[in-house]
Amino acid sequence: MIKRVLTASCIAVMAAGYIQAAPWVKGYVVAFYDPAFRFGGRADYSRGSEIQPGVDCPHGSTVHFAVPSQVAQSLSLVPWRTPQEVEAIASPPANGLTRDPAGVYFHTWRAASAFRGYRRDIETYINPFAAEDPGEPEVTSRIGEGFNLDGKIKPDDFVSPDGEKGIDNELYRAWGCDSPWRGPDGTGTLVLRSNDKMLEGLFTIVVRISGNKDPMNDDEATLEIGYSPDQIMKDARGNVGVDYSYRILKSEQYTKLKARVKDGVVETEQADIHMPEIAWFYNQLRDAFFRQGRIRVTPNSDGTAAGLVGGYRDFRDVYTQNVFTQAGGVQGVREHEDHIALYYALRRHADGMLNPKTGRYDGISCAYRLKLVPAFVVDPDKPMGIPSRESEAGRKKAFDETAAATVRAVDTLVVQPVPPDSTELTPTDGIAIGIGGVPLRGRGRGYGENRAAADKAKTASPQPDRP
Amino acid sequence: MKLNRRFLLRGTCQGALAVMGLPFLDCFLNSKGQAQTNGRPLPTRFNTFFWGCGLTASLWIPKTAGTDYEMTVQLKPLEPWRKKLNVFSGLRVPLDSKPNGQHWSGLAAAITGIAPSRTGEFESRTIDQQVAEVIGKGVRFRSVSAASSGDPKQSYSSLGGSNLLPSEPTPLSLYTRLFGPGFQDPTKGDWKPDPRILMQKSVLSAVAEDRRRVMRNLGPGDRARMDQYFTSVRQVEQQMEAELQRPSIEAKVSIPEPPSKDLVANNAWPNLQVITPLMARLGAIALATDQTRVFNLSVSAPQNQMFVPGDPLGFHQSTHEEPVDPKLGYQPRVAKYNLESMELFAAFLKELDAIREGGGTLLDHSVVMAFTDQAYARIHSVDGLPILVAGGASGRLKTGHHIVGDNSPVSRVGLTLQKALGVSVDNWGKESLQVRTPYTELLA
Repeated sequence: MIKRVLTASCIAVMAAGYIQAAPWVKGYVVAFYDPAFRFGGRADYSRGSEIQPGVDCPHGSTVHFAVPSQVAQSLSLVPWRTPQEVEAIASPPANGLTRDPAGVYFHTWRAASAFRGYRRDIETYINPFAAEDPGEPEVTSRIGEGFNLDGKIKPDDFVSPDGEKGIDNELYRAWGCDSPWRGPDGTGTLVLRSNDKMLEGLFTIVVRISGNKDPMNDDEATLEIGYSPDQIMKDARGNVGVDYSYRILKSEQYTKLKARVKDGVVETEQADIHMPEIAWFYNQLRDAFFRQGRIRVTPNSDGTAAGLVGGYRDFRDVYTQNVFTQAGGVQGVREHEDHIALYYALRRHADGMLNPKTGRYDGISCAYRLKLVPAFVVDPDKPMGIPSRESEAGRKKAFDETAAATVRAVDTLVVQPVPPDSTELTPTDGIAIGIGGVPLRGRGRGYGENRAAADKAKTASPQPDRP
Repeated sequence: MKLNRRFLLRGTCQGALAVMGLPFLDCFLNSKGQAQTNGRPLPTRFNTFFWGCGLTASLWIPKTAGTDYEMTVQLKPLEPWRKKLNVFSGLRVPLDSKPNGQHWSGLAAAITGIAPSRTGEFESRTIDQQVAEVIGKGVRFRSVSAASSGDPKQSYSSLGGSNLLPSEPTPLSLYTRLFGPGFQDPTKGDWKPDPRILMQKSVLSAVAEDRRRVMRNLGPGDRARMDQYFTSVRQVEQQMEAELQRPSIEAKVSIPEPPSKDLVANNAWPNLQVITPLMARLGAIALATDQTRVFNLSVSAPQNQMFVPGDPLGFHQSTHEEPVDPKLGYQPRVAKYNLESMELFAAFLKELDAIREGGGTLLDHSVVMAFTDQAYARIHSVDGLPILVAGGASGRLKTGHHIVGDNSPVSRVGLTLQKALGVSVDNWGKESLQVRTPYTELLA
């Protein structure tokens, strides 16, 4: 009897060992993608539509351009604006039934916010260094999500919700109170918006994890992450469908990493990561380049998984990605964020990618959350690149040129002009509107038609730069 | 041209008169599939109503499907017309590889069945023009559009591309177009054909023989081009034919006095409350007097600029700037603007339902498609686009339902309405928006 039991046990152990050694593959499609900005307020609290201040942001979310007093405060830093101008811009006349106050405020503030430099003709979303820092509230919480990227435990590092010390996520500290990115359960406007566009088919990210041992414990696993040309499939209820097939492209937005699986949790090696960037317009689609990046995938009991990707990102990429998809002033006024303030916050908190020439950090530590839904991730039949949209090629080119101009500007501190077809206002538009006169509807490129003004700006002689 | 069972196609063949009868067509039947006692069915009309920036999902979508649903907060203004209303929720706007043009893709998909490649352009005729092609012949105006916020460019009626059929921007301009020069009141006894129309028609008739002779001498390519050209000429002829006949109407309406030129049409809510019902009334009278059978009323641009005096933001800006109240779960000020938009829709329905016609009302002999541009304007989301449809299409459309879309493409509504209006169409839309299955449960 004992012999029979032992024999059966041996067979069982051998069988188990055989199963554990089998090649395995798991696939996921990213169903939600947002910066790991931990919300510290109370989700069930309401105070007249205000987002509750929390341990993350004691003064609540940002209120840039929310009310005239905020606008006046910001514009009073502009050296060439007179107090009378500031007052006129902050409180434009918009009473009565025949005027559209939303339009008056929006166009005036949007235009004025774009020209806050030391000289009147400097577009300061492209040249943020030329403006005074209006100030951005920073996260004061000690708890933050992310990775210990530098292997050190420093006094100002965050502590993860699980208690891990030394978490590096300075992007959270710099931008975590920014209104469109803050909210409980991923409800910040731009978080919702970018995810809505991803589900609409703007872009798809897939993850494939494979190994040769046990899917729960494998120290020689591989994790691939990258762009898929297949749009996310939804079920009849509008949720991301489970177990659909997606191709993964080995493109410039693809990375293959060594990984270790322990009790089902996948941790990758620390290496450079290329994967799609968060986007809510086509012109923003590009590589989110994480230096010294890491990825963690934690399975959930229902088959889905929670992902976390972190690393150091070039702060100039982070800045331009957020600013130029529409126009700095358009998004700033609508979303109550001030990109000039965000720029200085990024510079202040940059903590990686030391630039030996300048002696400054060009990178900022950050982390992004991924919600993963099971999928079959397969290779395409033939190698292929990321498809492009011909109809939006012009806008994408303009976006890239505007971003490049900004990078040049902040690197050299030489004022850069507004590139042709950029969504940013030319000096002609901005000053004409922003000086305090009644703005015209539709003026300003990127918001309505302003061909005449654009043409005029192109032909205007350039102003000499400040020595 | 009016068709009835006794109508014959006429022509000459080798000098002899040739006549040909028509098969028994649907248009010879009334709503119950029976011939009208007077042999002339009441026309069915098609209307659209557009408002920008959508509704708030948690406040407008009824919790249950079917006919016993509980009226929601934002649909409350439509309660009096509940039995004449269909509510569509859960509709999807698949964009395929097209961009999500803010404030455009959703509305364009709803009324063309095609996700547009560019903002500001339609990739086909809009549904009102597709329907007008069938039901709008033989009346004075193929379609009429009006914008109660005072902008002629606020039109969602197009023959395709970026060209819009402009809206009448003021009550006075709408009145002048409908009841100004050229209008003859069909309710009065002194109706006479317009001598100018008679003269123009005779000119066209005189060249008809020549036209045929020219066609015979052309190659296939040129003949196709000339065909296109003469099709439009033929449309003009049909138009004139219609204008030479007294419109046959059953509604007892009188033509009102011209509206004051001092009325201001813009985005201010108090003005919209005055202008929208007035334009709706003029449109309803035009429909009742058979001046047109297709009337489009819009109350805003897609980026809805409606504002309540004193509100520094207005509707559209509020959708982006107002925070979501964490306790309520929605944007309170936006929700108020949503409700006001539905009050304007209710005002339109009220005017259509106030005109008695045959055994029912003008609304019973109409279909009104109310549509918008965004499902959730705060993030420019299009999936879940609200569509409301009122009117029974002369008994061909069942009403009183809340249809839960189960992620159906939004174009399914358009296909259903065209079926109800007698448009011969098997499928509608393109790519993922192409649909073949209407809501059969709504078709009588």
